[in-house]
Amino acid sequence: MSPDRSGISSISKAEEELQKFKLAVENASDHIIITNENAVILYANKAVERITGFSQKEVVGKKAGTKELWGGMMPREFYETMWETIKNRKKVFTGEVQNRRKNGEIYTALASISPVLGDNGAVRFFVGIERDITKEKAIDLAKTEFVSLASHQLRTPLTAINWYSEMLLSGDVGPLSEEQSRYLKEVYKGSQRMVRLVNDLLNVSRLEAGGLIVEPVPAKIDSLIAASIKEGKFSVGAEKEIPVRFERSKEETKLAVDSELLNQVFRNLINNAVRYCSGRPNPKVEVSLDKRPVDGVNSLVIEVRDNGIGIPKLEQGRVFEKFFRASNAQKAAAGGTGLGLYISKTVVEKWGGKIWFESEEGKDTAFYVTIPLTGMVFQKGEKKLA
Amino acid sequence: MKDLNNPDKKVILVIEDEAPLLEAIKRKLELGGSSVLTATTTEQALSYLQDEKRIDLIWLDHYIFGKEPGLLFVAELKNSPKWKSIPIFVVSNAAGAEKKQAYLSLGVDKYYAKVDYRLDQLVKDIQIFLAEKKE
Repeated sequence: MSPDRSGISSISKAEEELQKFKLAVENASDHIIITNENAVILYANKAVERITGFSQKEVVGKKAGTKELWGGMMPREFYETMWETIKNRKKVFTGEVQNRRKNGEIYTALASISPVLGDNGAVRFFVGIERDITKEKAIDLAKTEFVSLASHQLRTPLTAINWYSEMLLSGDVGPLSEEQSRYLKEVYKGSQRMVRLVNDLLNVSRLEAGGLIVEPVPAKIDSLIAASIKEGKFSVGAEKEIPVRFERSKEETKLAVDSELLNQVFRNLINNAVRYCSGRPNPKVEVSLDKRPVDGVNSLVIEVRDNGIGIPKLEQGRVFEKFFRASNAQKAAAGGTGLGLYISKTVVEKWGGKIWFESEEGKDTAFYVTIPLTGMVFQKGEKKLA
Repeated sequence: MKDLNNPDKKVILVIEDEAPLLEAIKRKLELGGSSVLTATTTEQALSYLQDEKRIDLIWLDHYIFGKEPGLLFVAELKNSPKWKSIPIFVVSNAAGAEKKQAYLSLGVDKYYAKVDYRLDQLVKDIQIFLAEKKE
């Protein structure tokens, strides 16, 4: 084998390899650019032209992420964080970014920018990959708005069903026969179930629209919880009268909390506990408070324990998923929406806490929720729960 | 409306543009011993306020004709020396606690999410509120 021939063949092999990668990048559906360490564009693939409207020729040699091209639309802090991540910390930055096409149209992209380091550890290039997600965002928004609108429009007729059945059942327009009253109670119960579903859907749409407001103010936690338990007796179907035992702390716990959010989460847990131990021998629901570190954060831990149906081991990983209901829960109580714990988890994490559970099927379940002892984390946000 | 002269009967002005709900509210309040005036628009409500000598409490829905008419109406009342002390209960299906906060900061006395409350509970709350106010 002559050295000449082998040299040529390995060069052409390398070129072929390179060509393969080049073609792949050039024709990828995502927008891909390579810049030098100062963000000056060295290369742009075809998708850049298709998505931004600027030709490959136009962009090479210009600075990426500026108003001269498709960028510069985001607040200054966004770019500061981005540069800090990719240039100083030399990490990959990912984020949703608003850009402007050459024709002036605004679009939303999911961007990921990676530094490519040289042997000396210094940044040599940046690789920017962006996917145009404008359509997906619009669909998502339309979905959220639809749910929100539908929920509003559903609440008025539900109120009419509730109030008129309530008046009929209270004998406001004369006595009912036993059978009439029994049938009407079913109407009323069905309507109450629909109210819960609509309220939950409304809350999910508000949470998913982003920006939940968390406004912590100093509050007495024991009193809040006691009041919430008392108020809950009104709303959880009166037939299921299960005592909720709550041992108040010796000294009232004071913390900065958003009491509406705490109430919402706590009520979800209590309602579940009551629902899933009702009809079982000696049903029992216990609430207790404890202060201890959780994952290194000094926390108030609220525990809600019941001796109900429990959660099957195999399904425990899915309990906080939207619309998920454990198989035994579906059998025990048809009325659940599968949204309560999803909402609770989202809310608890917004306030800087944690939520988890321990459960044995057929025996008991304990849910735990934490609030940092420094108080709930303030979130400016735009929306409260419904 | 002959009851309006009876000093023992509380006069409640209900502003609600859903006719079936308005009827239920009126009936329940009357069963609870109050006199009831009903309005489906804020204009109608204002004309009652101008004509009637005595209104003890206003029951107000958020969604009545216009853009934010409920809020504007409350602002108007609270700016009027003659009407600002009439208690207002907002009973609404508008979603979101930020609405509740807007009303409370304008000075309404109570805010309820309509769909979450029994009618008898609302009527009872009004009776308790008015009884406590009298003392």
